[in-house]
Amino acid sequence: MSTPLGLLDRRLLIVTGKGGVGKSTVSAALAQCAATQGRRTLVCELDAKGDLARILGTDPVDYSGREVRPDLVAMTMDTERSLAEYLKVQAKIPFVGRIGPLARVLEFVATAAPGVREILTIGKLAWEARESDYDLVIADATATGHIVGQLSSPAAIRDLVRLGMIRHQLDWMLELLEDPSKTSAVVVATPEEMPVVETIELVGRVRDDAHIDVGAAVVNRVLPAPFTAAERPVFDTLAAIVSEDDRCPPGFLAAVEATTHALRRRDVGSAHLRRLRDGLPTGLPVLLLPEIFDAAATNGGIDLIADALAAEANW
Amino acid sequence: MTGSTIPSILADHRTVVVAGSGGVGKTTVAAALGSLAARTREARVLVLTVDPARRLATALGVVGVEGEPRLVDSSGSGELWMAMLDARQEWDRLIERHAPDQQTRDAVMRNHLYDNITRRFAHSHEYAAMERLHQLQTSGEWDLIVLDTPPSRNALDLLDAPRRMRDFFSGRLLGWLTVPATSRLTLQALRPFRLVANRILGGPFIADLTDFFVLIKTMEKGFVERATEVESSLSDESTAFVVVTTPEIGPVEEAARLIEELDRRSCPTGAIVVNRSTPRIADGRSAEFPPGLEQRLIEGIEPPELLGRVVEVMHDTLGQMRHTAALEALLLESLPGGMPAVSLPMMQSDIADLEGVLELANHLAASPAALA
Repeated sequence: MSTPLGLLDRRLLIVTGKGGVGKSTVSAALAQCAATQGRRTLVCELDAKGDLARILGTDPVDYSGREVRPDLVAMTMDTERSLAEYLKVQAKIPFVGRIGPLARVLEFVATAAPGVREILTIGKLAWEARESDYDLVIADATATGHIVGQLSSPAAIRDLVRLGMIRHQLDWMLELLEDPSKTSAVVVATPEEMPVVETIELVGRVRDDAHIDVGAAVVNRVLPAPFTAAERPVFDTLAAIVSEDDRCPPGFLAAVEATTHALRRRDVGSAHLRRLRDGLPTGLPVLLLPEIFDAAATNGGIDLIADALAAEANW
Repeated sequence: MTGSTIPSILADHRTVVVAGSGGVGKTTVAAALGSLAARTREARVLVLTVDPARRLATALGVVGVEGEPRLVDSSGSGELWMAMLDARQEWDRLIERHAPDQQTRDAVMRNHLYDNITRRFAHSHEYAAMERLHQLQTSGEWDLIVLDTPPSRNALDLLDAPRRMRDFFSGRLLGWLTVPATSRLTLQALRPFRLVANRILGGPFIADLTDFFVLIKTMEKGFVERATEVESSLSDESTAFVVVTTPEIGPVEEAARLIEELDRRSCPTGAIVVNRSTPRIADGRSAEFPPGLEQRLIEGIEPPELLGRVVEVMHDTLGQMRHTAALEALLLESLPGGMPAVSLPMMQSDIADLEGVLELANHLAASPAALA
C-alpha cells in the first residue's frame, strides 16, 4: 500500500493547465475529495466563466461564496470586490466612496500598473488561506498563458514598488506561496499533443519563474484500454479476417470500424502520456483520470471523477 | 448568410476571424481554412496565428521566424502563408511609429515599466494582434487574411481592444495622473485618489507611473486613430467571423455567447465549425454471421475462447460511440440555427503536418448542413 499523496495537507492549491483540458473539473474533484475527508474547503473559480458551479451541479456562485456541500464553499473571483474589500479591511481607507466609481478606477489602475489585477486575485486567495478558517483553498486558476505572470506578480511588484503598505503584505504572501508545505500548483493535462508540450513547459516555469512547488500533474480524459493484452491480438486478427471477407454483415463491420477508431485514439493518447512522463521532473506524481464518456456532453460525472481521483491518489 | 458554404465565405471576404474558447483547435481550423482558400483560389492567403501548436508550427516551418510571414504551401492554385504574432515586437513597432520624436521613443523603451506593461498587462496581446492585422490589411499583399484570435477569457476581447484603447486615453484618470502639477483644481479633485495610491503603492512607484504615462500620452492621436481604423475594418462587410467549438458543453455555451455577442455588434457569424466530433458510424445492429465466416474466425483465432469477449467489447465500443454522437447532436441543437455548420470528425491522430491540415480542409469544403 503506497502512502496517500499529501496534496490535501497544503493550505493553497493552484490548479492550472492549457485551456480546455478540464481545470474546473479537476478543481471540483479535488475540493470534493478534501471536503469528504472533513477538511473545510474553499474552491474559487478565477475566470468567472461559471464552469465550476455547473460542474458542482449548483447555481452560479459569486464573490461572497456559498456552501454547496458540507464543508465545501464555492466562490468566484471578482477583482473589483477584492479591491473594495482590501481598501476597507486592509488599508483602512475610510473614503473609498470618494475616489469615484471603483470599477473605473480599477480598470485604469489595472491597465496602467502592471500586476494590480493579478495581485488582487492572488492576494485574496492568500488571505483566505492564511487568515480564514478554511483548511484548504483551491484556486481553479487561469490558463497556461497568464498563470505564471499571475503567480509571480507578488515578486514582480516587490521589485517595482519600493515603499507603501503593500510591501509588508507582499512579504507574508510570498512566504506562503513559496513554502512547498503550504502552497502547491497542480497542473492539468490531457493526453494530446499541445496540452503535453505546454504542461512540460509550464511545470518548469511555475517552479523556476514563480518559485512555486508543483505537487502533481493530473492527466484528464485518459481513454480506458478496451482490451486486455491477450485480447488485443485477437481483435487485430479478427479485423484482418473480416476486412478481406465480403460476407461480413455491415453491422459487424461498423463495430470493427468503431473499435479500430477507439484503439487508434487510445494508442496516440498513450504515446502522448509517455512523452509527458518523460518530460516531467522525476518524482512528480502523475495521476490519471479516465474519460467519462457522457460527462463532456452533459453535466454529470463529477462524483465519478472525484472517486477516480481519490483512488489514484490513495486518499 | 443561409446557403453560403465555407468556400464561399472564404471567397467573399478579405479577413476571416476565427474565434472560440481555448483548446477547441482554433489554430488548426484557421490553418485548414487558409489552406482551403489557397487551394481553390488564385489567392495569396495569410494565416496569422498567435499560439500555434508547436509541432504544427514546426512542421509548417513557422517556428523561429516570429512576425514574418512564411510560405508553407504553393501546390494549389494560390499560396498559403503563415505568420506568428510576436507581441513584444509589435509593441516596439507601435511606439516607433507613434512616438513624436526620437527622444520620447527612447525614453519609453528605457522606462522599466514598459517591459512589464507590454508583456503582462491585460490585453497587451490583443493590442499587438490588432496592430499587426492593420499592417497586413493595408500592405495590399494579401487577398485573404485568416486571423487566429489570441487566447483570452473572452474570445471577443480583440474586438474590444480599440474601444478600450480609446477609453484609456480619454479617461479622466489618465488626465489626472499626467496633469501638470500647476493645475490646482484638478489636483484638488485628484487628492483622494493620490492619497490611496500613495498609501498602498508608495509615492516613488506612482511617480514612475506618471513619468511613463506622460510619455505615452504624447502618442495618443496615433494610437487612437489606428484603433479606430482596425475597429471599422473588423465590422465592415469585408470581414467574416467563424466560430469554432468542440461538441462539449463548456465550449458550446461559449460559442453560443459569442454568436449572440457578434450579432449584437452587427458582425454576424459566417459559419460554425464543430471540431473533433465523434464520427458517425452506420447502424451497428448485430446480424447473424454467415456460417462460413464464423468458421473462419473460429479457426483463425488463437485462443478461440477469447473471441466472444472481443466481439462483446466491439459492440460495446460501437454502442458507446453512437451514444456519444447522439448526445453531441443534442448538445449542438442549443446553438442558434440558420447558419452553416460544418462538423470536423475527431481524427485518429493529431494534426501535426501539412497533410493533416489538407485533410481537415477537405472536410471543410464539404457542403455544410445548417444546424436545426
